[in-house]
Formats: sequence, structure tokens, C-alpha cells
Amino acid sequence: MNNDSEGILPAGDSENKVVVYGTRWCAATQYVRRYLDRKDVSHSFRDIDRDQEAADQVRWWTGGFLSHPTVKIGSDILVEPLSNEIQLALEKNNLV
Amino acid sequence: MAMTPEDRMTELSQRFSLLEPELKDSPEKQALSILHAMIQEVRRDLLNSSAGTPQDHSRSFEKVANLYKSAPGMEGLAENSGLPVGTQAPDFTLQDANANPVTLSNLRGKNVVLVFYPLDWSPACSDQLSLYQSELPEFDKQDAVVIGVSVDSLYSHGAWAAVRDITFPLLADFHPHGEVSRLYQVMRKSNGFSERALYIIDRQGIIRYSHVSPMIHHIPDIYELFEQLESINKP
Repeated sequence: MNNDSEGILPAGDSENKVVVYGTRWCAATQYVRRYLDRKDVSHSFRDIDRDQEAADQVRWWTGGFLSHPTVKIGSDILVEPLSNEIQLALEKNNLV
Repeated sequence: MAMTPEDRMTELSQRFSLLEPELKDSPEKQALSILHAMIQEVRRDLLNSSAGTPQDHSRSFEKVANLYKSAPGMEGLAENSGLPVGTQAPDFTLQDANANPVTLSNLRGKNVVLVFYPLDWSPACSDQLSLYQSELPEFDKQDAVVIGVSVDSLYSHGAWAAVRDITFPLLADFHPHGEVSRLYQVMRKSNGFSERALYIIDRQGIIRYSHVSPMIHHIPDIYELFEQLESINKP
């Protein structure tokens, strides 16, 4: 289930293979978190409104944009992904 | 043992991610970040195109469905605070997209999640209602029905529900314009549409949860919404 771990895990080396970077008020972020919940994929959430380190990491991946959600699945970085792209990355990383 | 191209990409991506804290802000860092983002987009295109090319008609359909992504943004502070928890939910009758009248008091016996949203086709609204559509089984588990209300006409609701696969009722608060939104104290005087607001109305018709988004493009936290429904359902 959802593991709310803001500000605890270092962005580049999290224990969870799946990390959702986003905000609490963004529908697409909520959609992704719930999508992972429903698939029973263990993941953590980094709130980029409150976690500067997470925000910096997102900007680093996206050419300076604070794009949300940005989802790290294994080493794959998905920027504002569609659900089929998440599914593909989960399969590739043997997480479903 | 030789690495596969996929393993190599994995290894390179991990090394790239770890470098972020080690580099000071500079134009060079910015350039590297932009290059990474460009490569990501090219890769994404390749992955999507290998999944098959859609037919022309489905492309047009997709274009319409995705209009909201390039539509003008909608921002602004809330102008209203809504009705307080504990009050009797005002009754109303509005038409859904098929011109069927929907009366709130006819839904007694079920929890009702009443979703006021600014407008069909607008950026954040599109994602919010799609989120609720994907959660219908969870709402059902919580013995709740979801109803959307906006000042759009029933024809707009029909088209919008069709492209976004929304199956729960969208009610037209169209004429008199915004009457129900005003009844629930969520009508924005400056725009002519409603706040983004949520009410949970319990089985007896009492408002048990009231939330007006402080910023109009902010979507209420769905985890909080489910917590509220769970607490209402507790004996």
C-alpha cells in the first residue's frame, strides 16, 4: 500500500523501487498513487511542495520543470506518465 | 558478461540520478538536465510508437479528449467557504446529460459525494473526474454514489462524459445559472462558475464533510476523502 515517506528517503537511493514525486492537490499524482495501491505495488510518495530535495531531483530529471507526477520505477523516470506507460515500466522491472 | 542494452540504460540512468546533489547550480547543470529531459521524451515517443499507430478517427477522438491539456489554465483563490458540516443538505433537482431529473432527496439511504467543479473541458476538472471514475468500485464499497455538478449545459456534459468515459451523473446547473451552486454557497461571483468543492452527504441527508479547494486548480486529497467516508460508515 501507499507509503508516505516525505523527506525521509534520499531521492537517488530509495528503498522502494517505485517512488512517486508529486503534490497532494494534483489529480494526476493522486491517480498514479491510487493506481499503484490497486495493483499492490509498494511505493513511496515524495511531496515536492514540502520536500526541497525531491523537488530538486525532479527538476534535474526534467530539464528544470517541476513536472508532477514524476515517477521513478527502478531506474526508469516517467514524467507525467499515462497509465499504460506505468504498466509497461512495472512489467519491465518485474514489479507486477 | 556483456551487458544488454537495457541493463546499460538502467545503469546509466541510476548514475545520472545520483549526480544531482553533487552538481552546483550552473548553466552547465541546466544544459545536462535539459538534455536528459529531451532524451526521455524521444524514448517515450519511440516506446509509444512501437505500441502501434492509431487510426485517423481515433486520433481525432484523442485530440478532443486531450484538449484540456493545452487549454488555458484556471487559477485563483477560493471566494467562498461553503456550507458547514452538520447542516441539512439543501434539496435540489437538476437534469443529467440524458435530461433525466436527479433529485438529491431520492438518494437517501446512500452516502452522496457531491462534487462541484468549475467547468467541463477545463484542465484540472478533467483529471479530477477521471480520478473519481477510476475509484467507482471504492466509492461503491463505501456505500457512496458520486455526482458531479457544474454550470455547463447537459449537452456539454454528454460530450465530455463520452470522451472521458465518465459514467456517474453530471448535473447541469445551467438554468437558472448556478442556482444550486449558490444554494451550496460555492458560486464564484467573479467567474460565473462554481468553486471546486466537495460535500459528503450521509444517508440521512446531513452534510458530514465539506471542502472548498483553497486554490481553484487544487484537487481535494482523495486519501482524506476516503478517510471521511470510512469514518461516516463506522457504526
